[in-house]
Amino acid sequence: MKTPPDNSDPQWENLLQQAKADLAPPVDLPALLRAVRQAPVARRESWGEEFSALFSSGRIIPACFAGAAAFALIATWQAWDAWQALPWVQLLDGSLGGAS
Amino acid sequence: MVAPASLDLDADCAARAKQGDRAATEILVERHQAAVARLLWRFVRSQADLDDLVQDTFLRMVRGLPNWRGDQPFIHWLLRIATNTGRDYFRRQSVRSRWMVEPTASPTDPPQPEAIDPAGDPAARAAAGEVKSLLAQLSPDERTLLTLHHLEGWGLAQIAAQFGWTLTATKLRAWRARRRLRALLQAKDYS
Repeated sequence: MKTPPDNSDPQWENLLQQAKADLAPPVDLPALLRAVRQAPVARRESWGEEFSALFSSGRIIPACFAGAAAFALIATWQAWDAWQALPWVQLLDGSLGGAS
Repeated sequence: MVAPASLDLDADCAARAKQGDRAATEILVERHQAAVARLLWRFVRSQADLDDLVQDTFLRMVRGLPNWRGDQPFIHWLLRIATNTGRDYFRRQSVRSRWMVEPTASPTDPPQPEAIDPAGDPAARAAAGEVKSLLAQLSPDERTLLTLHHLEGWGLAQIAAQFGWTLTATKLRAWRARRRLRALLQAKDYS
């Protein structure tokens, strides 16, 4: 990488030095304290609260969709597994001289 | 350098504030409002904006207290919230100036006379205003980086740690920002 462009011309440096001397005006502390007092106190939720929040009314529809998707996935997987197992079942059946 | 006794007091107050102790929260606000205001003053140009950002910082502090861990000094954590608040302010300004149809005050405009606070040192206030309006022409991240670097005197490693950037990425950003600033300075006949 090339050397960074140098901004250090005397006029700019002088301007920066002056700018650094600019002090912040005092904050309206009473108003700030009032705002902080009115802020709701945040607290870390316990795992029980987090778990029950999963089933809150706002999340019930996404939860149903997620559950249905999970069920469909597992059912498809099981059907695929069973379908693959079928020829083996027939072979096994044949080798044992199935009674049916 | 922060005195160890001061760190202990902060840690104690923060631990109590975490449990919902309002008095401890107020002690933290009173103790650190000046440091937060001093930092955020580098980002804004009017008292009203400063008050807004300081308030926003402390409200974020109250919301974030449950996540504060005592493995770092409280003031470092708080100043990280303040720098993020300042950066968000730059981002909002950038979006507003890009999308607003009706003419509004651009960040590069000088502040309105009624928005100018009586400064202890008018020359310093004018110089700061000029630097801020030059930096306002950069992207929000570049503006944040050079504001902290030039006006607060932070090193690039400190800035990288503050925002979770890698040092290499920060150096690259600084290089680009200085190149753009250089062009702006040349356009303004600074060199």
